[in-house]
This record gives sequence, C-alpha cells and structure tokens, in this order.
Amino acid sequence: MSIPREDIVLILPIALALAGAVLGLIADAFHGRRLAVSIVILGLAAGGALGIWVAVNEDPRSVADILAAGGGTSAVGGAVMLIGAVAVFGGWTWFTRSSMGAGAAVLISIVCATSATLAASLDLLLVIICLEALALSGYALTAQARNGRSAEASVKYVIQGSVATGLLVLGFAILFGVYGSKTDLLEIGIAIGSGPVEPALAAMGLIVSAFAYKLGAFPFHSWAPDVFETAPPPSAGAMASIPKIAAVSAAVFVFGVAFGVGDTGSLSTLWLVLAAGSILFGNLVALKQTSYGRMLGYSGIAQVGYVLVGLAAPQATWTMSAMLVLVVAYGMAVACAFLGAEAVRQIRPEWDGSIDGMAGIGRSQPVLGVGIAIAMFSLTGMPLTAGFWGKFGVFGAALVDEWQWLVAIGVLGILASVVSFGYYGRVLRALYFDAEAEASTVREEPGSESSAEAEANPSLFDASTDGSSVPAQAATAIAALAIMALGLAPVFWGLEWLYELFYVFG
Amino acid sequence: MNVAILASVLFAVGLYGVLTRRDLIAVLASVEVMLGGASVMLVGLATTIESAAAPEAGVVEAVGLFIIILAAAEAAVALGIVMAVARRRRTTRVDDLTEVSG
Repeated sequence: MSIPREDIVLILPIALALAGAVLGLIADAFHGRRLAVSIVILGLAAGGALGIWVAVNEDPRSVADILAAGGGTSAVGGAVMLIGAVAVFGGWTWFTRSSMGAGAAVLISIVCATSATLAASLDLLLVIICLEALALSGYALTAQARNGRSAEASVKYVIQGSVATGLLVLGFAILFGVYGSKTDLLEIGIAIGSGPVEPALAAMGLIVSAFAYKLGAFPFHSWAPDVFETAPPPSAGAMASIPKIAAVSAAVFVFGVAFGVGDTGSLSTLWLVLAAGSILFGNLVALKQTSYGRMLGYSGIAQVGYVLVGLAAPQATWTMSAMLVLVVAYGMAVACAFLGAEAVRQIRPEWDGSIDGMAGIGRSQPVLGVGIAIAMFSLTGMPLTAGFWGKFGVFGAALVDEWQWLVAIGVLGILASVVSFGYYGRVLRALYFDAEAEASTVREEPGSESSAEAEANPSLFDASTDGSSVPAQAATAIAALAIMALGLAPVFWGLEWLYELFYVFG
Repeated sequence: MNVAILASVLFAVGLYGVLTRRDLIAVLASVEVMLGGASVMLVGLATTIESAAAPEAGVVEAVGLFIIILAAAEAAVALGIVMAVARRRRTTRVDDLTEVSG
C-alpha cells in the first residue's frame, strides 16, 4: 500500500491539520496558549486552503484504495478545516484565557482532521474509527466549560453516543461476518448485490440508526440541544457544523454510492421516515425555545431532516452534490451563528443565553448584527445565500420524483422552511427591533443567589474568559462573507459550478 | 449460527441494562457488555461462515482488535466525564441529572 509521490498532495490537507494539532499541544506545554492557538489556526487554514485547491485542480481518484481525494470529498475536507480555523479564531479570547483553552483548540483541530478523513473514507472500518474519534472529541469539548450543566450534558451525550457506537459496531460486524470479511465499502456493496439481502438490510438498519444519532436526527436527537446550550459558543459552533458535514458526506458515500446496489428500497423508506420526523419535530420544538443555543440545536434537527430528504431520493450525482452543498451551507451558517453568540457574550458578560437578551445588538454593533442576520437568512434558505442552493437541489430532486411520498416530503420541507422563519426571524427582531435588555433577561448578581443557581446559569462559563469581542466579531464577519460568496457564486458562474465543486466520487 | 445467538443475547442484555439501570457506572458497564456482544458477533460470524473468498490471514483478528481498542477508548473518556459529574454534582444517579432540559 504505497502512495505515489504526486498523490501526497491529496492527503496533505489532513496532515497539515494534524500537524497543527500536535505542534499546538507541544507549544501549549512549553510556551503558552497564545502560540498554541495560533499554530492550530495556521494548520487548519493551510490545510483548508490546500483542500479547496485540490478539489478544484486534481481529478477525483483514490489514495491507496482507502481515501477518496479530489472533487467533492476534498472540497468538504477543505470546507470543514476552514470552518474550524474560523471557529478557533473567533473563540480566540475564550481559547487563550480559559485554562483548558489550548487543549480545546487542539481538539477542534483533531475534529477537523478526522472529519476530513471521514468524508474521504472508502473503508467501513475507517468510517467507524473516524465516527468514534469525532464522538470522543465531542464529549470532551462539551465538558470543557467545566460547570455542572456542561458535565451533565456531556454525560448524557456519552451514554447515548455509546449506544449508537454499539449499534454501529453490531451492524459492521454483520456486514463483515456475512459478506466475506471485507472492510472496503465498494467491495461490501458488490458482495451485498450478489449475496443474501436480509442480513444486509438488518445491518444497514443498525448503521442508519447510528448515523441518525451522529447527525442528531429525530428520534436520536436529544443530546443536541443540551450540548449546544451548555458548551462554550465557539466549541458549540465547531461541534454543530464540522462533524455533521463529515457524517452527511460519509452517509452519502456509504448509502448513495457503495450500498446503492441491490434492493434497498426499504432503506429509502427508513430515510424518509427519519427525514419527516426530524423536519416536523425540529421545527415545532424550535418555535417555542427561548434560549438561542437550544433554538439552534432544535433547528439543527430540522436542517438534518432537509438533508435526509436527499438520501431518500434516488442517488443521482446532482442529488448527492446538492446534499453536500446543503450541509456545508448549514455548517457555515451555524458556525457563524455561534460565533456571533460568542461576540454577544463578550460584549454583554451578563447575557443569559436567551434570544431576548440579544435585544438591540444589531443597532449597537452593526457588523455583528449583519453577520448574524446573514446566518439566519441562510439557515432559512433565503435566495442569494448559500443555504438556498442546497435546499433548491435537494427539494428539487424530491419534487420531480415519481414516488408520491417523496414529493409530499419535498413540499413539507418547503413549508417547513417558511415556518422556520418564525424562529430565525425572532433573532432578527431581537437584534434590530427590540429595546435593550430588561432586568428579567439579565443574570442576577453573584452573591444574591446560591452558588448552585449561579452555576446553573448558562452564561456563567468562566469569568476570566471575558475580554475583547473583536476576534469573535471578525470571525462572524468572515463566515458571513463566505456564506454570501457561496450564495452569489452560482449567479455568476452557474449552479453547475457549485455542484461540480462538490462532485461525489463514485 | 449459535455464536450469532450468543452475541445477540449479550447485546440485548447490555441494551436492557443501559435502558433500566439508574446508576451511571452501571450504565457504562452495560455499554461495555453491548460492545462485547458486537465484538463476539464480528469475530464469531467471520470465523464460522463459509464464504466464497477466504479472508486474508490476520484480517479478522486485526479488525477484532480495533473494535476492542475502540471500546476501551470509549470507556476511558466516559469514566473521566462521569468523574467530572460526580465531583460537581455529588451524585452518579441518572435521575438526579435533570437540570439541562427544555
């Protein structure tokens, strides 16, 4: 299994991110957090830029039969690393001041490298190892706020995650045992096509459940809002976007390309049910949330539902690219939204994490306000933002299909997008039209409350991490510009250009 | 086929434990039983089912080891987080962890 010299560049992006992580750990041990966080940002930015370069310039091909590179997989890898770089940069104040900050930045870097590997993976064992590495990093990142609430959210995440890992490994065991001890996804797919179909369907049911959990799809969602509410906003932004992009990308390859052979019609039904449940549940519950983080958590369930509509549809190249565009657009927007929350937290240290508590920020901080507003528009799927082009492709594929249930769910998705403006729009109203925070949304002074209640307050992460909001504001602006760039590019270069960038290797 | 039944029973016992036990340590122990069942399924099926193409020597053992390491890594991180909960909340009972919800 040797790699030709001209193929080294294909895996170099992942190597750069990992090198940033390792050097960051060493720098943290010897010199301090600022240098460590800077190295992590540099590694991620370099890896991300190289990933995009590879996606544009190299032909899609496999490296050592285990990783796909070039085309959509490299574009996804580059996108997750760039999102990671922006998230770490936006959390600069938090990461350089919190005692565990550099470690968290390194974990985000590892999450990015693992996600890029997962998106490119052609081997089922590698998929499992990457999913597990993502889960373990996620547990640690959630617990990193070091208070009772985040520890509680983290332990719930761990228990549910362990069950999902059990389902995943059991499904893998059946595929591995019954279909000739293979781990290569394409070979397993061929073996399923020529062998008995029942064990494969049982195994895929288990693996689909595990993926649904990793994606936070209904009914495997309950960890997501807790984690997004209690984790520090930069880490929450990274966790909400990066692993989700990678898991969707892996699901597209595993279920769309590799296992798309043979009779898998019942699998489409399973995806359809998951999608419908996620869209309905996520939207309805998000409507009544008062916490910004929980609202993003529940709306993330709905967003995953939109992506799963694509998996239920026939796996044309166009549909697969559309799913990747949709999930990358979601990742960029949700990272932008959480970085905006980090900036709000720095500007108003007394902020309790509620949507009402953000009142008036848009007028006092124009750049931050516009950044968060663009994220909300893209999450809704407003035309000329990145989110629109993803929804366009996915719902379009559902609407033109002959299967009436799929058409119905396409319509449901479009209606749900309209409904979703109910809660995304509430953020805009708070930013621009509501009066400044009243006393009820402001945290009580410590001392007047018991320490247990003070710890129960989501805004109370670590007082020493309050400081300048400039990095978080700048990162929000960068993310918002990227959303607009991805949204406007198809206007000039055509939609084919965007979907070609996210071409799925098959 | 017997080995598949054994593995399924192990997995089911573990899942039952996760759903019914109220103590975090017991829940984690049940998770380990689940993962043990999955490993037995993997090695058992791969070594007993006759397939057209025989696997390369060592592949089954290597993959089995990977799964065991994965379970161990999971347990290490999970126990660390349970320690953090126990220290901050003075409890390891699942029923007491109801502060984050909505």
